[in-house]
Amino acid sequence: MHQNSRIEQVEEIIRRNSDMVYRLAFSMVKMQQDAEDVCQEVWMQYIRKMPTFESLEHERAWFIRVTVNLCKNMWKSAWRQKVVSMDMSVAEEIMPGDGTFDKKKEYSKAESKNLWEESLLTDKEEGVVEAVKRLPVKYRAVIHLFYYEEMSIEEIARSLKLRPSNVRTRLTRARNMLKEWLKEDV
Amino acid sequence: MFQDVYKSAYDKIIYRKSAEINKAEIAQWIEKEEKRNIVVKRNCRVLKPILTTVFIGCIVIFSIVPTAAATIPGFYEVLERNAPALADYLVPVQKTDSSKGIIMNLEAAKVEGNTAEILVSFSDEGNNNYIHGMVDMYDSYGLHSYSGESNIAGCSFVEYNAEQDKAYFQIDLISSDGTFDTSRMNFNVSTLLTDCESYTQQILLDDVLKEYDVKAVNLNGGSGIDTENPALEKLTISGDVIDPRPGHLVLDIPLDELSPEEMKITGIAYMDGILRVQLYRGNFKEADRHMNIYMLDETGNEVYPNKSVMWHDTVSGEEVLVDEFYFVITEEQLNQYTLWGEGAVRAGSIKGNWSITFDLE
Repeated sequence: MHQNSRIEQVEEIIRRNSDMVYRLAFSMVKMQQDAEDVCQEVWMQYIRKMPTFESLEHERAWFIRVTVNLCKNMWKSAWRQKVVSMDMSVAEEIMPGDGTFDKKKEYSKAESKNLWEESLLTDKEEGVVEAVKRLPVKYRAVIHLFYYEEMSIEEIARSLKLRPSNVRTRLTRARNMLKEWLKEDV
Repeated sequence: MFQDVYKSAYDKIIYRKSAEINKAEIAQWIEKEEKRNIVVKRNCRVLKPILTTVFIGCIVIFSIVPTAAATIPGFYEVLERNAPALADYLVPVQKTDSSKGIIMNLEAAKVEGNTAEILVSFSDEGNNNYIHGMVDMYDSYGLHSYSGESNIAGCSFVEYNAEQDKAYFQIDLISSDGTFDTSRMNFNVSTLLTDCESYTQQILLDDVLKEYDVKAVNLNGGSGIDTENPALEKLTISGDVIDPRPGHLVLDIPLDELSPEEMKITGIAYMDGILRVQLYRGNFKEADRHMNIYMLDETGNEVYPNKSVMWHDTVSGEEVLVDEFYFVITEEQLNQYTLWGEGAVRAGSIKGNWSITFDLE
C-alpha cells in the first residue's frame, strides 16, 4: 500500500473510532491519563496489525475487543498498581483529609472533574457515573456497551467473543448492583 | 432514567488528544513502528549466538530448578522471595484440585488460532451429593496466565452428566492480538451454587384478589418498560425524612410462614386497572432466585410488566427480597391473557478454593 494512502486510511479509521474507544476505555480504567494511554496503544496495535475489516460492524468489534483487552491488561500490570498507589499519595497531599477522608473516592471525583472540565456533571450524572465505577471491571464494559453504545446482547457477545448467556448474566448482576446503590430503575 | 443520565454524562467526555491526531503524527507513528521492526530484526541477528548459549544454559538450569522447586519446599520459598516471576513459572502443573468435598478437574484444553476452549468438571469426592444437576459459579472464577498476557475469558455451564455424576463447564479464552500465549494458566473458583434449576410455569389467575390491604415499604430498586404510566402514580408515596428511599404501596401479605430459602408467588390482585403480582424471593446473600414475569395475549405475544419494584423484608431473622410486578390492563384483557413466570434458582452455596494450573498447548 502506498504510504500516503496508508496514512489516510489510518487517520480515517482512528477518527471514526476515537470517541468510542476513549469513552469505553475511560469507563473501564476510570482515569483520564490511563484512558489516553489505552487509546494510544489501541492506535499502535491497529498500525502494527493493519487488519482488514469486512464491515463497519467488524471494525467496531475489533476496536472494542482490543480496547477491553488493553484495559484489562492495564489493571493487571504491577507497574500500574505501583503508579496508582503513588498517585494516591499525591492525592492525599493535595487534598488533606481529617481521618475520615475517603481518598479513593475523592481522588476519583477529582479525576472526573478534570475529565469533564469543560462541562461539569450534574449531581444526578455524577451519581450514576460513580455507581458504574464501583462495578467490577468486567461488568463495566458490558454496561457501557449496552447503555452508551446501545449494542444488543448478541452484538456485545460477538464483540467480546463471549456467549450471549455470559453477557446476559453480567448485565443482570450489574443492574442488580446499580439498583441497590442508586435506589432507582436501571 | 438511568440510560439517559449515563449517556448525557458520557456525551460530555472530550477526547482532548483527538485534535492532535493528524497525518504528520500518524506518519511518525508508522515510522516508529517500522523502526521498531527493523531494530527487533537486527537485534535478533546479533543476539542469536548469545541467546543460543543462554538457551542451553537455561535447559540445564530449568531441568534442575523445577525438580528442586517441586520437591524441596524450602528451595521454592527462597525462589519465590528472590525471583517471584520465575517462581510463578515453576508453579507445578496441577490438573485436579479438591476442596469442601468437591473435585475440580481439567478435562481438556484445545487451542485453535486465537481461541482456546478449556473444559473443566466438578464431581463429588466420596459419598457427598453436592453435585446432582446444574451448577453455577456465581461469577467467582478467575483465569490468568503467569506471563500477564491479556485475555477475555467467559465461563458457561455445559451440562450435568448423570452417568458420570459430573457437571461440566467450558471456558472460552480469546487472545487479543490473534496469537496465543501458551504459557502456564491458572483457573480458580471460590463459590459454587449446587442447587440450580430453571423452569417456566403458568401462574393461574383463578384466585385473583379483588379486595386487599396495602402497606407502605421503602424500595431498594425497580425497573420496567413504562414506569411513568399515570395509572401507577397512586402507588408511590413521598419518602419520609429519615429514609431517603422512595416509598411505595404494596400488597400487605404476611411472609412469616415462608422459608428464607424458597421462592414463591405470594399474592395476585386486580383493582383499578392494575394487576399486581407479588413474588417472594427469599434470602439473597448466598443465593440468586429470580423470576421473569410476563403475560401472553390472545395471539401469543408476550406482554411485559409496566413496572416492577423490589424491597427488603426480614423473615426468620434473615433479610429477604420481595418483588411486585404491575401490569396496566383492562378487565377484558385480564380475562383473555395468561400469566407466566420464567424462574431461576441458584442456591446451595459452597465456598471453597478450587485451583488448577495447566499448560495451554
